Amino acid sequence: MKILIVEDDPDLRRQLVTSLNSRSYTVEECEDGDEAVYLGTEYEFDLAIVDIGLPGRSGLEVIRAWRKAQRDMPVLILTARGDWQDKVEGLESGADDYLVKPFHIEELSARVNALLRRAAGHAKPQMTYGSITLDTTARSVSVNGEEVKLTSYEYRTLEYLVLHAGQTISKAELTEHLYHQDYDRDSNVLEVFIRRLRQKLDPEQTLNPILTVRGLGYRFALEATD
Amino acid sequence: MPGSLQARMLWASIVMLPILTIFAGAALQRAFETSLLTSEESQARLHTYALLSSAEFIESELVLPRTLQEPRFSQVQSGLSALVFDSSGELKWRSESSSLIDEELITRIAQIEPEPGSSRFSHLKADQLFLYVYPLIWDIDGLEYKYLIAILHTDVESMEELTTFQTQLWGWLLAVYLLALLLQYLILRWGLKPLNALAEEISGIERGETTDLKGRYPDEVEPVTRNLNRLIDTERHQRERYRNTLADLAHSLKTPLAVIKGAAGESHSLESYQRLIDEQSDRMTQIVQYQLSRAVKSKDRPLANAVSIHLAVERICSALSKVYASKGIEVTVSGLEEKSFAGDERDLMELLGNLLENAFKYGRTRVAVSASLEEHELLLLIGDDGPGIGSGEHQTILQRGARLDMSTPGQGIGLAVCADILSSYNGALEVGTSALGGAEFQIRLPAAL
Repeated sequence: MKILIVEDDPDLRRQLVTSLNSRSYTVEECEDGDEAVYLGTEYEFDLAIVDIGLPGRSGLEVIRAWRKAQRDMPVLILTARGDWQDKVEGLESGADDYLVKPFHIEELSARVNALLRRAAGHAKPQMTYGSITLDTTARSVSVNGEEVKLTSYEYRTLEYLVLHAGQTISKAELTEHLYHQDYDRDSNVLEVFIRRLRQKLDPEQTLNPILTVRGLGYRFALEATD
Repeated sequence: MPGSLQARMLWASIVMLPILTIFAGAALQRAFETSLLTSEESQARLHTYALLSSAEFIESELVLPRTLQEPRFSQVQSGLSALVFDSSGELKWRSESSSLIDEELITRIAQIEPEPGSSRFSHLKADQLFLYVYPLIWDIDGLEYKYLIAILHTDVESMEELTTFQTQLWGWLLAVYLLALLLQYLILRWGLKPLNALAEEISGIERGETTDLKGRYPDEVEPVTRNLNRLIDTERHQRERYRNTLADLAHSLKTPLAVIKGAAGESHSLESYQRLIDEQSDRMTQIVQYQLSRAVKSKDRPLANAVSIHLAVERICSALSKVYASKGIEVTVSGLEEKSFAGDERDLMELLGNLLENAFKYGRTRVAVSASLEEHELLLLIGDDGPGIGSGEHQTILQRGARLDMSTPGQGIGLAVCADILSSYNGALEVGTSALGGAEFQIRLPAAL
């Protein structure tokens, strides 16, 4: 999952980047409105975190510009004032949720999680597909009630596929959303992750949760059982 | 440009008054000159008539006595002379006093041919003379005999008189000018005195000797002082408020700081120390948030203009529907049309935002907002179908920082801010049970007119 952080305060930005990175998100950062408009319209993100009080072009303008350019990723706004006029204006400009500064990083993480799930059409943090259960809050996976140990990259790959269940995701898209821009995009790495995931989730090869669509990409093929 | 009103007006007078004075002086001088000339002319005419009365016509000839009644015609130095020419310009008679007159001048006068019947008066400045010429036609037995009578009078006396007049005139005008300036200065001093007094009083306020403008001022200045007093008053209240808020903030931050400081001295495990810091920083956040919300809340309501409650509810609900999209909450609104709030829009947003957010947060699927007018009160109900609030907790929940449920995020100050806002509008906040089964917040506000 690729997240854009638009925050002018360097300390807070660094904190956000570090903590979101440690939660296995791919993070891009920028500090002013103009760059944010550019990044958000030119590249695809799964979510954006925008500080309203940016110097120059305000956060509200940034969001309006994105929405005008048909960018519909969920947007979480950060506001320091926290009065309702601010919040309502932010949400009216196209944001999906707000967080008043100061906040706990756990709170931010929970909101980000909820927004990502919501964008994928899931209301609850736990998603069950047959015997496989994905918990986006705990960032854990269990098969038949037993937790499966996944590395951060393996989890991210699985989560992305699950949140887009039924859709065929190209290798390019997966790489784009899972890794930093400067990451070595050798497609073999992705294949390795997929193979390991298949082994960990389905050692007996009875479920076949991840299908390879030849020439196109991968697809999470299980039906949700809620 | 000079800075003070007084200086400006004085400068204007110093420049304008001389112009006026010069015009007035010139006009007076002109009038005096005209009257001098007029009197010279009429004197000359009188001399002509006297001359004619002593003239006789003998054998087609005008005959004048050697000595006339007027003694000055006989004195050489008198400055008054008379000459008589015939129609051919030949000098027929001259007074004894005319012996000193230049022959050249006499020739010039002889050449004057005035219109018959009209006399001519002129001032020959080069010759220092007034000249009066009178054409005379004598009609005897059908024959016309034409003569020209000239009266010459020196202008020395008149010119002296004029000079004296001028000296006196300009002297007096200068005196009037200086006096006018002095008077103007005094008038200005007196007229601007209230302004000086005002400045003095204001600097008294600056020095802290007095708190408002007490003096009585002229009608023109009165509105200024009235508004100044109002401004000073507002400003003082604001300052007090800021001081109170600051003091509140500082005092309430002291406790968590003291806890943290104290904890440093105690032997805590890293984990429990972290937890303590976390708790206390939460507490401080809450305090700051509360004071911030109070700062947002406007205390001075200028002329209360009506703010549509319906619009505010709709805006906030559609915003909250986004935030709580996963709950799919259905909002029913009734009786809000035409209801308005007489106050600041931000206060209304703050009030409704906090209460509606609670409803969205705790409600399961439904939120209801309704309004009704009861006598002089506007009753606004915001209810949800959540777990509700037990009657024992109705009071607790309205206190600052009190929260019954710690699992849903929030600062726990929303309701306290609502209560604060409402009390500043003489309204009230109560908690009850909604028809939907959950909590219901009842807002009472004095009805907007």
